[in-house]
Amino acid sequence: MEKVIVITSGKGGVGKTTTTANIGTGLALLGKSVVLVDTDIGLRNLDVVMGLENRIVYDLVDVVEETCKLKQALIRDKRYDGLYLLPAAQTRNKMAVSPEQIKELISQLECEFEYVIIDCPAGIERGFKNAVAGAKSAIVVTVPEVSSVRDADRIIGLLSANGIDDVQLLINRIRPDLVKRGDMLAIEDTLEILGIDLIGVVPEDETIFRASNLGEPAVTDKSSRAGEAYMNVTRRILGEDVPLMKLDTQTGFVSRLKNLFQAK
Amino acid sequence: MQTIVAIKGVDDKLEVYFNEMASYPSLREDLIQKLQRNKNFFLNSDAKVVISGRNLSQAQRREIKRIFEMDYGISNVYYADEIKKMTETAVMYQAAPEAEPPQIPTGELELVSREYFDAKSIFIATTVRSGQRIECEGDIVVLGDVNPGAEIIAGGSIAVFGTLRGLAHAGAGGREDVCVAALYMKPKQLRLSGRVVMPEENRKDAAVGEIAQLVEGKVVFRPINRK
Repeated sequence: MEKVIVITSGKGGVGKTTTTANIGTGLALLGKSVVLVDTDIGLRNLDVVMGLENRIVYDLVDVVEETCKLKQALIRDKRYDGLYLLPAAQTRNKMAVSPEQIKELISQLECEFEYVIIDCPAGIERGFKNAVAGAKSAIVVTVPEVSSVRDADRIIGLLSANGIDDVQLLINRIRPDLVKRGDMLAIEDTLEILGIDLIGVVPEDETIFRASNLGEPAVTDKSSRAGEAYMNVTRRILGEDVPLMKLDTQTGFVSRLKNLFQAK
Repeated sequence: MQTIVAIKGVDDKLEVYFNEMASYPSLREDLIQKLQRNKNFFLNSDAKVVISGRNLSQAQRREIKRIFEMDYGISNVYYADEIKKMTETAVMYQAAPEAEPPQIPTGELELVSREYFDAKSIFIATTVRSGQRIECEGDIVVLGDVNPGAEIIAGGSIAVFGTLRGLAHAGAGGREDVCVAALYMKPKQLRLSGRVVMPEENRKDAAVGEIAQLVEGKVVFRPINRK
């Protein structure tokens, strides 16, 4: 993975913003300097899930229109060293900036930070074009469900047409019990259709709701399985070879006790 | 330099003239550039466009119409020779233009991944993804999969060295001596010379390497190595 990564999917609601927040926080926890860029102008969410909504003074559009300097718009997350957010505007729309302007902005950010993570909006029109301008690699987020996979396939094709070939897949919200019953696409089925490398699999996890509502990404919650999976994804971005988490359905007390006493 | 595409406003019409000596790819590129340069003027105008000049094939005509319609919202596009019969005047013999190698377009058109080719056959060395449409008057070979949502439209035959899950239409111009072949034949929909079939999903007896052809008006699937 390169240092400028766009998190995209095509389909809406599959977890791009959650992934951006968790990967960004994960990288900061591992000592890297990171800036998260929200390009979903008009429907901004990254600030909310990061718990930084009330600290927004200037945004991406202000920077592009030169109403303020880039530094003034960047919000430093006081909880995690090295983590910054460049929020989107809420009262404008995606025509307010152009891909060329975003490309210029991203190249400035590249000089200041070790990692630039770009949260892309759903769709394939202007929002997508803005988000991928300047990105060097991509993580495509999909849930194991046919419409999402169809859209992911389209997005992978469009990323390639935009010159981004370093693309990896993140399968989100997987339910191992449903996969076992044959009601949900298995990891192998999804990979067979999409044909790109897998950067990680994140299980469906209730802790995500609490995390979003509190503005504290799940990666900081030791009890969150999704958080653990996101931390593994972060490690893989840094080049570590982390095996896929074991995703089984046993969460009962007895099986947890059994796991405690099993030799590793 | 001779004008490749000339656009002139006459009354409420836009007359577009395609230089007869120019190759189709250069005509298309010049048209796109001219339209792009005057985008504000052309966008969504109610103008009636009449195209004359170099004779284009059906597929080429459709492509030009599509450019006007999709990118500029202009749907009243006609070809002069379709409007009225050609009247014979002086006969002029022009040398055939030098055959140019098929040019693969690059640039902002690719964002929608529609690959227009002016070639007798196309060889695609990768998987064709959802939303990509490959169109050609001749045969098309794909080394890879054709994913659902992708479209392979050939005047001739189609061969997929992989899994065919998307739409394939062989003999799209009417030819019947065509076939569709794939290693794993799982198309959502198959079309042969205008006939549409929706093959059964999850066929148990499907061989690796199947070919679909029109036999007496019906679409027949058979293993490749069986006559």
